[in-house]
Amino acid sequence: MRRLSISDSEVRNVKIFGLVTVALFMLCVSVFEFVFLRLGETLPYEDVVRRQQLNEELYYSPRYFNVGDIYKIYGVQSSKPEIIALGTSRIMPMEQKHIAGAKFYNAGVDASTSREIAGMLKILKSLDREAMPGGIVLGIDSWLFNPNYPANRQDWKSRMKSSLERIPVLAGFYAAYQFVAQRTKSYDMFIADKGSWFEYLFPAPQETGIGLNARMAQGGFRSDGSFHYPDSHKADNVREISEWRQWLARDQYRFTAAADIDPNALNNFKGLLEFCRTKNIKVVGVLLPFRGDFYSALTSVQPQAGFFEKFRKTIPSAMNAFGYPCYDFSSPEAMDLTTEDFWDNLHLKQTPFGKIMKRILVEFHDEPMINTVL
Amino acid sequence: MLFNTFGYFVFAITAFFVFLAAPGKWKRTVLLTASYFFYSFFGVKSALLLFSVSLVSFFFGITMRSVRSSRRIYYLWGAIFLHVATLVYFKYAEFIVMNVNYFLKEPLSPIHVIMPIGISFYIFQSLAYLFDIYLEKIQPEKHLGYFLLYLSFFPKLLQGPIERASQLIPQLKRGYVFNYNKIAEGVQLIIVGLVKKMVVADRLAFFVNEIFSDVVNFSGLVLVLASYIFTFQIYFDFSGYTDIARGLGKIFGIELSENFQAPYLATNIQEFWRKWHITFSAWLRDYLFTPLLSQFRNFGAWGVVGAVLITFAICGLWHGPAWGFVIFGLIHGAYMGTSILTLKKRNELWERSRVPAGWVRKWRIFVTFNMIALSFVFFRADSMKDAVYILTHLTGPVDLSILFQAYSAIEILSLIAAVALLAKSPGFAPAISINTNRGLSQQFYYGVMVNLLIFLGVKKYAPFIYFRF
Repeated sequence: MRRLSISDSEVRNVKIFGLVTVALFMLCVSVFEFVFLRLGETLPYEDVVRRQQLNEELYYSPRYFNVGDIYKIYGVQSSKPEIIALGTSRIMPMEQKHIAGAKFYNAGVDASTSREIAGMLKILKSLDREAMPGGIVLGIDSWLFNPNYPANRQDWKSRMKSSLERIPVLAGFYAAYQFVAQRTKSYDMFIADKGSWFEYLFPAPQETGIGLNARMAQGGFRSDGSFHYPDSHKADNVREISEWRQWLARDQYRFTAAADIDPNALNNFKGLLEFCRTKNIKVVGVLLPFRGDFYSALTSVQPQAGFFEKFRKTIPSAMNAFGYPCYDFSSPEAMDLTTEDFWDNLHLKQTPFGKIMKRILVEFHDEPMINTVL
Repeated sequence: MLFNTFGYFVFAITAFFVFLAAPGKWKRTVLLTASYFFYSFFGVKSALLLFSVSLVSFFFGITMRSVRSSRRIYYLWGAIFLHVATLVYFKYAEFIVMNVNYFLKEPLSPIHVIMPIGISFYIFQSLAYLFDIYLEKIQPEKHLGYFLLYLSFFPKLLQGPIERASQLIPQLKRGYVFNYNKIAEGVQLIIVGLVKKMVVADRLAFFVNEIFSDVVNFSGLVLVLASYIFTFQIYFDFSGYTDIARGLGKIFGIELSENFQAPYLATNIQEFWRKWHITFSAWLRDYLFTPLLSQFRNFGAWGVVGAVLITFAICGLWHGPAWGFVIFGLIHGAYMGTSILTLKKRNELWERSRVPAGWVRKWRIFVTFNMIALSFVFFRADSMKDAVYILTHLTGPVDLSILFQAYSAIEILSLIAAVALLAKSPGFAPAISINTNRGLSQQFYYGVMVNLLIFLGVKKYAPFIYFRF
C-alpha cells in the first residue's frame, strides 16, 4: 500500500484553515452571546430572580429560550413562599394578589407531557427545608395523563434520554449535547426573527424587562412567578362548537383519543402526592375551567369526551385517597365565567383566578405550616 | 440519507477511512459495497433493481460485441426496450394510466408504483454505455465489479452527473494515489456545495414555497419575484448537489464531470443548454438529437426544428410524469428552434446596429435569463392551472411586504453575503471569479464558508429538487 504522505506545508495549510475556522466560529458565537446577554436572554436565573426581587414590576420573558424549571426553583428558593402553585401553563396566571395574606409563588411551568409530573416533584425535591411550602395549589390537566398524546409516548428518544441520565458521565455528554442543540436552535430563531431587536440592545437605565419578549411587549413572568400576557396580546376568537368538535375529532395533539389514563403518569402523580404527604404539605387540586365553546365540544365528542370524563373521576379520587381535596372547575359555568375571562380556549385571564382562589383558599385555613391568617 | 444530512456525513467519512485503510485491490470493492449499502437506505428493492439493470446492461454490452455487426442493432433495440420499459413502468405508469383513463369510458385500475430514487440517472447512464458500444466508441467492460461500480458509484448515483463509461471506468480501474491537493479540492467543493444548498437554496425555498403553494392569493410583482427566486433556487440546489458529488468523487480519487458553467450568463438558449445540466444535455445531444437529426436530414431547417422539439419534449418528460415538465421541455424546444433559425439574422442585425458588443452581450444575457425564468414557472408550479394563473397575473399591485414577512433582515443580508462569496468560488461564474486558490485568503475564504454553513445553514431537512427525478 502506498504511504499516505502529507508535506509540512500541507499540514500547515490544514492547521491554518482549522485555526481560521475556529477563530471565526468563536467570533460569531461571541456576537450571538453578546446580543443575547444584552437582551437579557441568557442572564443566569439567579440574577433574574435577584433583579425581580429588587424590582417587583420587572417582567422576565426571553424570546429565544424556554424558561425552565430551574428558574422556578430559584424563585421558590429565594422567596420562601407559604403557598405555591404547581401545574401547567393554565395555572401560570395565578398571582400573589389572589392569595392575600399568605406569601405565594407560582411555580407552574409550560408543561404538557406526562414527564412534567416528575418535573413538579423535581422542583419540590430541589427545595431546602426552609423553602418548602406549606400548601400547594395543583393545576392538573388531562393531557398529562393521556398515553396517546404523541409527546407522551415512550419513544426511543425519551428512553435513551432517561437511560443516559442515569449514568453520570453520559449524563454530562447528554447535557452538553442538549446545551449545544438548544443554542443552535436559539441562533436559528434569532436569525429568522422578523421582529426588531436592535433597539432593545441598549435599554434605558430604568429596566422594564429581562429578555426580548419582556422588553418588547411588557409581559412575562413577574417576581411572584405568575405569567402576565402583555396588554397587546389579543384573545382568540370564540369558535362554533361544531368547529371545535371537528378539531377534536381530528385527534389534535394533546386531546388525542385514549381509552384509559396513562398508568405511568398516574404512578408519578401518586409519587408527587406521597412526597407532599411525607413533608406535611397540604395539596389542593384544581381542574381549571375551559372556555365555554371548547368545553361543550370536549364533553360531547367521543371518544375524547370519554377519556376526559375518566380523567375527571380518576384524578380527584386519587387525591382524595391521600386526603387531599380536588376541585373540578372544568365547566366555566361552575364559576360563572364568560368568554371574556379567557385568552383562548384553554387559558384564563388573571382576574377569574380571584374567584377560583376564593373558593379553595378555605382549604388552607387550618394548616399549621401556613402561618399567616388567610 | 441525503448529502445534506448528518447521517450522510457519518457514512461518507466512514466510507473514506475504510477505503483508505483497505489494500489497493480491495479499494474498489469497498467503494462498491459502500455504494450499494448507501443505496439500500432507499429500499433493498431499489438496490436489487439497480443490480438487475446493471446485469442486463453488462450482458447486453458483452453480447453486442460478440455477435456479427449486422445483428448488433437487434441487441441494442432489445436493451433499449428493457431499459425504457423499466423506466416507464417505475416512473410513468401511474401518469400514463391516469391520462389514458381520461379518454376511457371504463377506466383502468390505478397503478401505484414507488419510483426508485435515481432511476432516471442510472438508466440513462446504462443506455449511454450501450450506445457507445454499438457505435464502437468503447469496448464492453468485462469485469462485472467495475461495471457495477460505474453505475452505482454513490456520489453520483442519485442525481448524476450522468457519466460516460469512457470517462469513469478507466478512473475506477486506475490505482488510488493519496493526493492531498485532490482531497483539499474535494473538501472545498463539498463546502461550496453545502453552502449553495443549505444557506442559499433552502432559504430561498421559504419564499418560493409560500407563494407557489397558494398562487391564487398573490398577483403582480410577488409572482414575478417568486418565479425569479425559484430560478436561482433550482440553480443553487442542483449545482450545490453536483459540487458535493464532485467533491466526494475527488476525495475517492475520481473526477466527475462538471454539470454547470455559469448557465445564467448564457447569451442564448443554445449556450444555456451547454452550461446547464451539462452531462444530461450532452446525453440528449449525442443519443437523441443527433440520431433524430440524421433521420430528418431531408427536411432541411424544419427537420432540425422537429428534432429539437422531440428532444426537448423528452427532456421535459425525463424530469417527471407531469404535463408541466412536458410544457417546460416544449417551451425550450420552441426557444431553441427559433434561436437556431434566427441566430444568424440576429447576429447580423446586432452587427449593423453598432451597439457596443459589451452592451449586446449584457442585453442577450438579460433576455435569455428572463426566457429561462419564464419556462421555470411550468417546472415549479404545482399544476398547469397554477402555471397559467401565474403567467396571466404577472402584472398588478407592487406589494412586496410578503418578502419581508418571509425573511428577516439578517436572512436577507446573509443571502446576499453568501451569494457574493459563492460568486468568488472556483467554477461558479468564470467571468467574475477571483483566484481563491492561494495563500491565507483561501483559508479565510473557506473558514468563512464553513461558518456560514454552521450559523446560517437551514437545518430543517429539505430534499434536493432533482432528487425526485
